[in-house]
Amino acid sequence: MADATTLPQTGAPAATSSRRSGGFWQRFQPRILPIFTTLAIVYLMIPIAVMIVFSFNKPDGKFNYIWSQFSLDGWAHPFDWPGLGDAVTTSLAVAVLSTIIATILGTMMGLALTRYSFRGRGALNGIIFLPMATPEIVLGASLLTLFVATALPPLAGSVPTLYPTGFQTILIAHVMFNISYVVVTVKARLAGFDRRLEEAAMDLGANEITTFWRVTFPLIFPGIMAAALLAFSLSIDDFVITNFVSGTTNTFPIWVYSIQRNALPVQINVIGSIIFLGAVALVGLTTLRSGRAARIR
Amino acid sequence: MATESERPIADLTRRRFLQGTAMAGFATFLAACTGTKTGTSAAPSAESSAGALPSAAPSAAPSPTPEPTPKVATGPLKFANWPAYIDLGDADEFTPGASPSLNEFEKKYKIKVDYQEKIGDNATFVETIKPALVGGLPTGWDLVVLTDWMAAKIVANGWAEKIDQENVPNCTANLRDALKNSSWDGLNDYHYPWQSGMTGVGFNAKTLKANNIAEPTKVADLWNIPPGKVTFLSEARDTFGLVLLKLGVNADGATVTPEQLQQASDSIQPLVDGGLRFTGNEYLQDFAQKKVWAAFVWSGDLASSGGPDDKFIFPEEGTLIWTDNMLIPKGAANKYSAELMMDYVYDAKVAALIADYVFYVSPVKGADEEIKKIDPEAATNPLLFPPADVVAKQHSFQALSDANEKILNDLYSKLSGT
Amino acid sequence: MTAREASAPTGPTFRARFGRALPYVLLAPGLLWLIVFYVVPAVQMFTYSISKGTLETGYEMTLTADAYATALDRFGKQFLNSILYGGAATILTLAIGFPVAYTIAFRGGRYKNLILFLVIAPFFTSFLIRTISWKILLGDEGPLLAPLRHGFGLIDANIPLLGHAGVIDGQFSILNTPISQVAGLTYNFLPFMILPLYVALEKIDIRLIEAAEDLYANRAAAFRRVTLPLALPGVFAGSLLTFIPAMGDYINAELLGNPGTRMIGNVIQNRLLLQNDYPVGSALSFILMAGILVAVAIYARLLGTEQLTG
Repeated sequence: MADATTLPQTGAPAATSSRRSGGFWQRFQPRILPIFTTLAIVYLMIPIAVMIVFSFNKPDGKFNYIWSQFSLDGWAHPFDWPGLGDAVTTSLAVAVLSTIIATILGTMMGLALTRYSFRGRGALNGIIFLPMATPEIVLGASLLTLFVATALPPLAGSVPTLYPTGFQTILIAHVMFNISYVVVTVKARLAGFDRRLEEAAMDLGANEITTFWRVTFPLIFPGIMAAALLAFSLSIDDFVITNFVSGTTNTFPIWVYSIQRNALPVQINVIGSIIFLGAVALVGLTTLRSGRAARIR
Repeated sequence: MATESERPIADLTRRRFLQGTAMAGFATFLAACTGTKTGTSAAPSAESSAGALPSAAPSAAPSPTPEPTPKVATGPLKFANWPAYIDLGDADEFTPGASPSLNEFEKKYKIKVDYQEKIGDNATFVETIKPALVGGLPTGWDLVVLTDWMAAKIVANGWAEKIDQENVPNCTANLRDALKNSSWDGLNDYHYPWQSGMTGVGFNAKTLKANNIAEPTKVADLWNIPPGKVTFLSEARDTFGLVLLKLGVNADGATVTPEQLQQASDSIQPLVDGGLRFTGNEYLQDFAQKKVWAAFVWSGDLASSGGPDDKFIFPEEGTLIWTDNMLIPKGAANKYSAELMMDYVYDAKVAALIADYVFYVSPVKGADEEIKKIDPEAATNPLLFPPADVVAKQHSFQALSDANEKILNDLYSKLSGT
Repeated sequence: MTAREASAPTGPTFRARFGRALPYVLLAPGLLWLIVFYVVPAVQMFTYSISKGTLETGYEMTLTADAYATALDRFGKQFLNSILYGGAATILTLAIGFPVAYTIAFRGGRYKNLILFLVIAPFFTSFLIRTISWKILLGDEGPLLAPLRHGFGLIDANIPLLGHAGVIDGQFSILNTPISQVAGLTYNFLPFMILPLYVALEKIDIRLIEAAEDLYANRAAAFRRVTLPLALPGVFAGSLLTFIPAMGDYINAELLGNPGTRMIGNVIQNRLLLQNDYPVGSALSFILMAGILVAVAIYARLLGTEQLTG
């Protein structure tokens, strides 16, 4: 697969170039990066390609490991396992909500941290940083203990009860581990942000709010988008923490994990493919629209 | 209990909170003082976790007068079981993964069953419900299936609801005699077995042949296969039990000595150095991929989920026998429904349906005849009906003393690199 | 950099309206979330590490460091594995990720967002599906090894049994070796490296680089003196986002490694889930976290990006 995509690109300049090897190198050099990137993307895509290909398999036994024959059975009945539909719905809902909440909270924190000096910045940076340095399993185990404690005296009654665990606790946990990633990503974008652009806007008579939405926000928007993408992918993929705080609720990874020990139904690949293709379509649309917006601007 | 320790609460609360002592244990302690929500009795769990006070020993005192279960079937029944541990219907007639016997139950009692294959191994599953159990809160589950040693711990900690025997006439009538009088719950106050199985050796005949290795007939033969192509079980009891048998030691949980455990560990160590791995149920994946040539496996799995070349043998040295048990976790919301389920699967016909699918040994009297009726071929299946010579060499390596269990866990953890 | 920004003048009306409260208003919701759902449980875990007991019997805080002694004494090898494999994965992701991020930022053109999305796309599927895919690909009889083992022209994983005509013998494996484990870590954390690198590179003004190339008349020098320093915050963030979770990871080691390659995350998992040994489990976690913090501080100093961590 890698060969098929890259060979024409490497071959083409050599064939059309009548110059000697130095000339070839000159023509080839600018292509190194695109070729390398293509290869890297192919590398990242390989498991997805396998997943999609195997979604059309009709496995011999219970395990969809070895190619047997082409079939559309999985696609015709994508939710044909008890609990699978609910698990997917839960996963998507948690991912979307936790991404929105964490992106908003994290961006606000990122802004505050890069633009203002105030007491306790160091400690604050520590608090933001530490969740990323804490092993997931520790986060999961300790969160569960906390959730249980809210239903027991002396906390019971005085705080909102977070037990039994379920959708709400999964959401809380996902927002918690997402915030740090959002802050770090947004901060990387804000570091070195040219404040003179804002000052210029204000000199031209814009107020702070207009300046923020018309100047600052568009400039840091790629960072926010990157953070949101990261958060969404972390959330939809999380297993370790979710396993502790999900109670009897299932998310897609948890459902897959429990079933994969004794069977590997085609439906796993089908749902995986649908989520993947859906996300591609969504991002494709956004890209088109933002591209148009950019031209207008 | 509630009255006599009411006074110190205020002081204790604040100090302990400031100390930040284990919040759950702490909250539990208070729960113990003030009485738990479920309140059938002062929960033994609470007593044991009040062991933040050093002297309090864990006690298993069953409540003397269990409140009779209200005989109202409520639902949905939250049922956590191991993967592929129940009959699944034909794809034509049923949704894939749906169970005819569960469908029948839902129809018969008008209770919805939320059946989840959530238990991958005993410890990991119990860890996700333990804080609730310690705190005396409902776990969310109404019925769980756990192996002997873990079930024994749950019962000993008072984390299981007492079964109202009136509601389970099938169980009392049909439980096989061999499974009665267990050392940890002799009167079946808290548990009824789900299935029994054996731990033995599995291998892929084709791969072994291709590599010119004779098919194993005993545990010791696995030492002649490249260790990178062998897996043992991450349930330490199973792995150590079989290795003890290989060493010629009687693998009896009650009589094993620390030295013998050490010998077993020493015997496994060279394999680990050569690349041996420890797995749970997921050895099925390795078999499906021809990644593993031979392994310690549980008796029914390869028959129900393996490929045509995957074989299970009862090793010459003997096998390990164990039982997975149904328990109702403390505080279950639908206890009566759970009891109905227990009773239902002890109907010989239903038991036959399940056992004939999962290839394990049914604990239900009369299931044998029913199996033979629905599936004459199964009558000679040694997985369902272990022959006499196999039964003679069955060992139970479940009931270890606390000290030995600690040693076992420690040895296993060293072997497995954790 | 930050200091300059912090002291940069903001509009007077802005100040007047929100005063000094604004940063706190911005911080409050997120901070509150982290305090309640991270700091409180973490403090509680810390008390476990200086306690004795189990969840069932309750914990007695003894203020001993026994658990820490055990943790360091017995699990040195696993700590070493974590550093080794986590470090290897970080270097590999940086080596692969930097050129990719550079290409997306400066050559992406209108495909920028698409490529960016493709980079992160693997994460819209479950890690289990990805790992299963890799197991299929790298398996002993998978499409990569089967031809090597049995001679070319035979890649049907169903028929592994025509002898060993290929260049490797019957026993050779990639799965469950350190190679597959590092490969798995690299694969899983590559997007965590590329994204922050891209974010940092993307905001560099391309004209700056062009000017530098004119100035130094040497692309390598221009890269070293201009692009790289400007990209350092991204390198820093990316390395952290890779190294930290890679250090604490246990899934890759479990699914793609073997008992000899276990990392500290596996030990923590084992202590918490199987041994019911919260004191040692949490002691290990805090040692790991402390180690990471020290590593981060040194790394920040080396790269000169202290301000990023505060």
